[in-house]
Amino acid sequence: MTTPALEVRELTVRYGGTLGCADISFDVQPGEVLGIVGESGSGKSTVLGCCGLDLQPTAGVVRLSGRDTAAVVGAQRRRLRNQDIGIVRQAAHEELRLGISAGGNIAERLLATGHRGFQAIRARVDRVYHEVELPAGRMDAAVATFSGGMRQRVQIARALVSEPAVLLLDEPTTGLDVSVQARILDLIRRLQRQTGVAMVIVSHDLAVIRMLADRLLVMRQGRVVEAGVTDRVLSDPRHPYTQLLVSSQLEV
Amino acid sequence: MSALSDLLHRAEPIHISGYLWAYLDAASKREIRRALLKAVCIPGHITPFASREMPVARGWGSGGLQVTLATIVASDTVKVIDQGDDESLNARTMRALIADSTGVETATDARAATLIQTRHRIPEDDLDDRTVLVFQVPISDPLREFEQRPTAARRMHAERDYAVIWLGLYEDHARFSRSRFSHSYPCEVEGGYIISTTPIPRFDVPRLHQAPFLSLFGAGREAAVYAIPPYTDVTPITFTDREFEIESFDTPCAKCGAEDSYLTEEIVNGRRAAVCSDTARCRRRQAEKGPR
Amino acid sequence: MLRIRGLTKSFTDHLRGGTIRPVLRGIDLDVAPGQCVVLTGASGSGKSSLLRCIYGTYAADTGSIHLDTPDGTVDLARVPDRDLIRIRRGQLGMVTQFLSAPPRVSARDLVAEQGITLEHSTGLLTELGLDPALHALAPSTFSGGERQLVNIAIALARPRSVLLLDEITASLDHNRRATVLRVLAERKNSGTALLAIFHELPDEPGFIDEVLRLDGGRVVEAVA
Repeated sequence: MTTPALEVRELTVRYGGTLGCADISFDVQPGEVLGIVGESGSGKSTVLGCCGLDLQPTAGVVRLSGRDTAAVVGAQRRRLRNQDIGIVRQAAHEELRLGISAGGNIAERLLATGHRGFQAIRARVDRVYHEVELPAGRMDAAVATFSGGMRQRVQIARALVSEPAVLLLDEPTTGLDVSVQARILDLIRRLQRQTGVAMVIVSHDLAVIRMLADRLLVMRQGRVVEAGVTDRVLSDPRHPYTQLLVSSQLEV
Repeated sequence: MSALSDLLHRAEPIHISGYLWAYLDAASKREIRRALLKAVCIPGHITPFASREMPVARGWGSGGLQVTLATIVASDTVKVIDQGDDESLNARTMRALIADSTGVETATDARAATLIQTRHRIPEDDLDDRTVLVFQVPISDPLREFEQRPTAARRMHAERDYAVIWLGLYEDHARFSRSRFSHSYPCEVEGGYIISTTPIPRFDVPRLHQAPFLSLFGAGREAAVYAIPPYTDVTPITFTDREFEIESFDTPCAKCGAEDSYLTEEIVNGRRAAVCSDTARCRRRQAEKGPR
Repeated sequence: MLRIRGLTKSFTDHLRGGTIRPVLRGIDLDVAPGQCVVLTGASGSGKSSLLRCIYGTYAADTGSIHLDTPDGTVDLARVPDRDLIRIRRGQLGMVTQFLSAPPRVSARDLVAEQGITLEHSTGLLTELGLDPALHALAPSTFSGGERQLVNIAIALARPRSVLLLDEITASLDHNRRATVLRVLAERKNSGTALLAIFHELPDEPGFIDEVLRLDGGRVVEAVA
């Protein structure tokens, strides 16, 4: 077995007296897609935050391509995040600078990892900008003038421009029109297959998870209550909470 | 490096006729000098200090004035310029305050001055290692435009996290094919911190690189100082495939005929004309040429 | 070779106070390479559940499901998740009546995603009788029968040693049904084992080797 792109072992996060997540373990190989589902407050964003190096675990280990991230601090940690991890969030403004151009938002991760040749940066940004099917001629327009779906595409381009080992998606299509959502999911699916990036997707939408994820974790109150191959968990849920989750979905 | 050793050995204030020498009290001078010594030791590092109320409004040179009055010695010759001009109202009043409270010599010839307080310009004349240049700084932190939280900005400086400054440069080149900085061009000091060369024009930026003089930057409103010691690398940040360009002028100075100086617009004989912004040097050159 | 011994499966419904609903009560079954075994029985007799247990969509309670793979014999009832995913991409295929496809991917791309060329994909869709005009369109716009052809093509894109077929011809008209059965027969002749549920038993001579009737989660009758 090759080194996992992302490995989480016995991860626990406490916020003061509140439990964020407890004893979470999983790994994701290059090319694999892991889904995490659970209701609000179940700890899935906490887990994703630790994978994205935004949060420090209270206990446990997060390894990126075999490297323990706890030892990586300061400038190295930021560099690791800008190089090896791509993040797409539900709220685009948390990840993007709305007053800056789409191209600039994408270029920022290259600038943050020491790229200093303007033409070379421009060429990479241009390639990934078109790869995510954003409209030609808008690359230097401020993201503030972009629609919700286009902003998600800018986020995806920004995440992938550094050719990361791990792509983290936190409710990437929540809040979008159904037709826009379908197109974004299609794009994510295609790029994931093309690049072979290891992906973790958090969503409360089981249809999204079914379409993208190979394997699935079901979280509740900070713990994993069920895990397995996606269609098994969704078709033969065994934990009472998973059964409730599946039966609550209008149509899967 | 006499300017630097002067800074280290400048004497405690002398009391003259019941009033403090150089306006500031001893505790204030000590505070400012400590901050300045730290700033010199860590080139380009923004060092906070306890900024005093001064008899000029904040934003009118209160930081520069505090630095000048904290470092001045009786043997200094002082020059004060605003926009390169010794005779602007602000320059004159501050020069008067410095002279009146110390009794030191003043000069308009930069070559004669040992302490030059300036806003907007570095004098065109070659300055040597006896000179201390004091800059009046409006906005000290080049990250301010992108990050308003001081704690976050400090963290970014500490980690040399300057991607946002490069991002600004990227945006300029992408949208306008050039950098839009007319002044305060961000420069890397000794391969480390990025400072704002505030508020001098790009024209003056190359003169900071390996300069023989000591540059002290004082921001009164922001209560911060930073410094470039003599003979320090100062590199304007630019993409590897994009040249750093300074302003160029298509005409010589309408008054003295200089072709190598920074020009501003002025009305000469009822017409708009480009003339030297460094008025002292311009006047000297006109006198040298003799009456037409 | 697929070899099932003592397979049981029940559902525990926690939303109804933990009611236990058994669906398979001890299945023994062998399917040899190149053999077609057909499951019959009333609705609820356990036919579909059996196919899903083999494919891993349902987790078996007890018993074993041995499948021969190039890496040795694997018990699908105990196999780790990653190995199951790999086996599904390789030896084990399943076709149901339903196509769960991403909404905007074209039919030929969907089939090509199995790891074959676009040319091969187009050829397979044509062979199964899908109008070439539809190949570049997303199956979400297709009729039920057309979708079913795409679904079958996905399963047939790569050579499989075992194919699980759950009422795959139900939405096909007579001609399409005959075409699909002919293609399946070719795969069977080249060594693929078929385990199938048919709404209407195909009467193509020599296609079916064995018919097993299920009732109440047990094999109650074998018809040669």
